[in-house]
Amino acid sequence: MPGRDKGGLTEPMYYVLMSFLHGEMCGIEITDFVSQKTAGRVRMGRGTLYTLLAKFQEEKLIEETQVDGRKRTYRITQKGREAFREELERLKSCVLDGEEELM
Amino acid sequence: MKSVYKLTPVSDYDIQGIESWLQDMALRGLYLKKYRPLFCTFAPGPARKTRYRIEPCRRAMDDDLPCAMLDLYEEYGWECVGDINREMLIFSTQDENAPELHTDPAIQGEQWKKLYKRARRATITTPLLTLLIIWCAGVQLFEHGTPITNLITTVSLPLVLLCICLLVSLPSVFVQKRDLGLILRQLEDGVPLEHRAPYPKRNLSSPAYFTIIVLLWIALILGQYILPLTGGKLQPLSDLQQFPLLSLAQVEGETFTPYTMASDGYVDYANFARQEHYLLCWNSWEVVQTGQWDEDGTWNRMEIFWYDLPAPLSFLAEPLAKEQLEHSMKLDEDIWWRADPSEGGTWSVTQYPKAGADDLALARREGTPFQTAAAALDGKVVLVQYTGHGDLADHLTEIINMIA
Repeated sequence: MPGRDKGGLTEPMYYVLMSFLHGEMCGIEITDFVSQKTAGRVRMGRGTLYTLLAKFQEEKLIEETQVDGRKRTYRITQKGREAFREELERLKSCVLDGEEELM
Repeated sequence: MKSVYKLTPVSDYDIQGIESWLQDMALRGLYLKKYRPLFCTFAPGPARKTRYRIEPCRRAMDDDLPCAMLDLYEEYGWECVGDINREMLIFSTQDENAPELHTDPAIQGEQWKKLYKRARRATITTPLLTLLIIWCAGVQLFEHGTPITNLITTVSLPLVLLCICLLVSLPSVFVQKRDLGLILRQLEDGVPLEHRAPYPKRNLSSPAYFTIIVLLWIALILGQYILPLTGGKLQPLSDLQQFPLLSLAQVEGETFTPYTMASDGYVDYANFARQEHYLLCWNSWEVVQTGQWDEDGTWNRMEIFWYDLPAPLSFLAEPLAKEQLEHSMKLDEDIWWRADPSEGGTWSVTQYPKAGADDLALARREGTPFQTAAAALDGKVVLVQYTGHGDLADHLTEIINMIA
């Protein structure tokens, strides 16, 4: 996974993982969340979303909870929360570094 | 609904080529029903602009289609319409508003990376497999030091041709790796894939290659498993009509006492003729004749191997006769045509260039009862192996008559 292997999450990965903080989510709910949250700046293709969900499942950051016809629902795991928190700290630190340099 | 079949003009890893071709076919009112590397099946319908996208999705033989992926794509109007070698899936949509499947080239590259790694592995495993098959073909062809006999009586030829085909197709493995590498590099650089590219109108080399490979496999199976079942039945010597047989009684003379292993209803295992069919020699015979053991310990016995080569291979008759004689002089066959090397004894070979055959030679092992003769004439070859008190040199005419 780009970024993840190097320790960080890419922007789409970050927002997809963030979407699960609201609870169990299915594909459409995830893309809607990402679109609303970023005001359409981060677009999420189906292929991109599938690749991310498959990768997150493989890394046990999320897990499938329900299959209802075509609708599949996932939730974040403890490991996923930790990964998100870790990324959040990293981003905060990046922002602080930038602000310090500007002052 | 009637299906339409079209030869696939692009290779499996020419992603943009396949997508462009399928999109053009849809504009002509032909919609993909089944993708095959050789030809595809289409369903006719009203011509409509259709987008096709190929997604890597490697599956093992017993894996089902990935429902999670299909469901997710279908929610946005993308339907799975085909499968390429269980490695890629083809999706299509006629909905102009359906969003593109990928918005992040780097993440998309992750999917292609798995396929690329497999293609990279294939550049090592395929040449190794090719070498293994070449080695097997070599072993079969040169086993016992009788390449011509093996060529005619085994499946060496289709095996060798298969090796040549594999060698010819070997560069395509590297081309696949290169093509996938280009896709991967482009995506990793953050450049989205184009979905439009020129493609050849026709690709006749693939069907031709496929046909050759199928024919070679048929020849291999036929030669290895089917043909041996069509011959091999033991027949009484009296039923042999194919050629005038040189009989053991003729060579042995008045002192000959036949030996039989026949019982009611069973074939005489000591005296029989057996026809064999081979890919390159449909008509060949093995004839066994047996007499009693003499008081001096000599076993009167004669075996004849007879081949009728097809006209295009008649040029192999003389070399085959020479090879058969040479191999016969090794005395390393079954319990009868065998000698202990410590016994010594050298072979003396006499050629008979004016006897009326293309090739005729007689070999005697000094101080032993072993005699062998080989002759070739007009694409026919005969080898005689004999132990007894007669002299094959007195029966050269009969030997030639067997192949005249």
